[in-house]
Amino acid sequence: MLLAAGVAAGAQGPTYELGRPPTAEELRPPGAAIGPDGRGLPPGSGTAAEGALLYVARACSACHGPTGVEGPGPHLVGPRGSGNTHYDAAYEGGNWQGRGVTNFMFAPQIWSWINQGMPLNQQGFLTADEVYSLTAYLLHRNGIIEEDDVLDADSLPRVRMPARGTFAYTPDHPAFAEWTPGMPRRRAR
Amino acid sequence: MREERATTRRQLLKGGGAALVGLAAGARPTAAQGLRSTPEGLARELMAYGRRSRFVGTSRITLDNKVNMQMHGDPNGFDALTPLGEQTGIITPAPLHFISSHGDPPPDIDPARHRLMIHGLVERPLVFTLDELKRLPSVSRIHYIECLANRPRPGAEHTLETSHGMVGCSEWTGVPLSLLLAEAGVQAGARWVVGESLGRTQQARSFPLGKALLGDTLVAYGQNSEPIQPHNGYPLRLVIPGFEGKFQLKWLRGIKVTDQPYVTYWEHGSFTRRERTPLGSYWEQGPKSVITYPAGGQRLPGRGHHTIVGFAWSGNGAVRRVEVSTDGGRTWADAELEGPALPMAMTRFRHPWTWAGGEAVLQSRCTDERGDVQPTAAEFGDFWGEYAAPHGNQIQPWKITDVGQVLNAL
Repeated sequence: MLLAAGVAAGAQGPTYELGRPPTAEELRPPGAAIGPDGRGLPPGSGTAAEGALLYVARACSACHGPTGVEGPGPHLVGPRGSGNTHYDAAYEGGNWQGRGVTNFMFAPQIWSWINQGMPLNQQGFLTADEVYSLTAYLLHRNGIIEEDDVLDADSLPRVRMPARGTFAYTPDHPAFAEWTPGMPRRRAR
Repeated sequence: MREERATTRRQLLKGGGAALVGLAAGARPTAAQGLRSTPEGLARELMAYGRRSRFVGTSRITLDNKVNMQMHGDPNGFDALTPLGEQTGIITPAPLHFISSHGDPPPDIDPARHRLMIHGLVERPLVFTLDELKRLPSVSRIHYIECLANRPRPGAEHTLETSHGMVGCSEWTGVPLSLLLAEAGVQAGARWVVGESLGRTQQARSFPLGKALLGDTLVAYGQNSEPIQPHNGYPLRLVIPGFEGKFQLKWLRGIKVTDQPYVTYWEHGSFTRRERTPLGSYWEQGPKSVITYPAGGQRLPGRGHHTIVGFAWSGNGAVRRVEVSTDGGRTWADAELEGPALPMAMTRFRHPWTWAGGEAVLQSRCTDERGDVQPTAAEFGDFWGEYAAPHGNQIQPWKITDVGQVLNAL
């Protein structure tokens, strides 16, 4: 194995003194991924009622259907079925969260998903407020929050998702295995 | 041995026609052999930056991947396959290196304005210019990069390239990520690294901090001694040796140190499958090999001696052994490893074979330095639970028909 030059990161100071501290603006690029705990969510807020209007105004309905289950894009309400036979053939029974909002373990991931991935080919088009509103709309349509619940950087991470704990992404899950060099490939099932 | 190939012969014949045109246009013959010289203007131009002979037409196989990419939520595919059958050494020329960009055309990045930010759970968040990165100690290492979906598939229509063309091997030059993390100072509690990418789809992927600290993960700016080409990540990309290609982000703009995996847009879907196992189910790729001559889509020009050639690689280190079977897997013989067998790099093998006519099934099997052996399709299916699963490293059998046509035997 090629393990040369393993630099011990951590305690000691910098060796080369190159680079500069980032500005506050640089630390929050608009398309940055947001983690499951929601740290780094930008200011802004939204409700399901506002999201319902945006769902049509921002043409989400053009791909996902008037009520989120007509396709041709993935279904946004309910746990299963995309309306696209290609998805369904490939991922029948899969855990593709895009096939169901209820499949996300952490609510901020829905925010991050919309912010990074939607609308297709126009990523970055939505404002933070709009993404909060659309997130609220999807959570409400799936029976997870109330229509007038206000989502923001503080409340969104506290939304309890029904799928929490079903996938071994986090160390608190019994099947979680930390990566170590040379760990064997794991059996699929 | 490549000259023996029928396709190459056809190209030569076509080229021959072009040469006659050149002659008619009045290129001067050299005295000794009656050869035509390259026209003077072109010869001068080629002195500044070389170009291959006009008789060489090898190119990537570009795909209209609209259907394929829809599985990832992309209406557009920007995918192209390495012409593996034409690759003679372990280095894939950068212009022929496969492309899988999930709908992203390469962003047009001005290197003078590009920055790399190291942030998250670090003592000193840092922003580097490219010039600053190049002032740091660099390393150059030869590693393959392979898309997780590169795998043998059933169906006679599949060729060498459609089944195995999403792999390439380059000499990557850059700064070890471990060095950059040491400059920034990783905080206690950090466990993961999220790579962040420019480009329309703003890709971001999580991988274990342990791999980043190992010293072999690179923030690379060089590919085969040149700046990385735009489709492969200009001006900066991650190279994470042995890990599936999806982690090795192109157009790298950020490295965020975190205490948890992010499971971003790009980590959903096929990348975290039904198994409900952690993201960490598919970090390193297993031992793998494929015969690239004779291979699916090719045709043997005649009976008699042929040199079977191919490539082997593994995400677990160096290739230790490659065996070849010419009788459908009943018997196996050690192939000769040809050239360097570097860790997490494509390694060449060859094996002499005489085709007496009639049907035959050729296949190769790789064993890596850890002792892991490339599985058969059946063994792979048993392991993964589903034959069609991505992440495939199963053995690829090629069937020779009685007229010398080479077909996928899965």
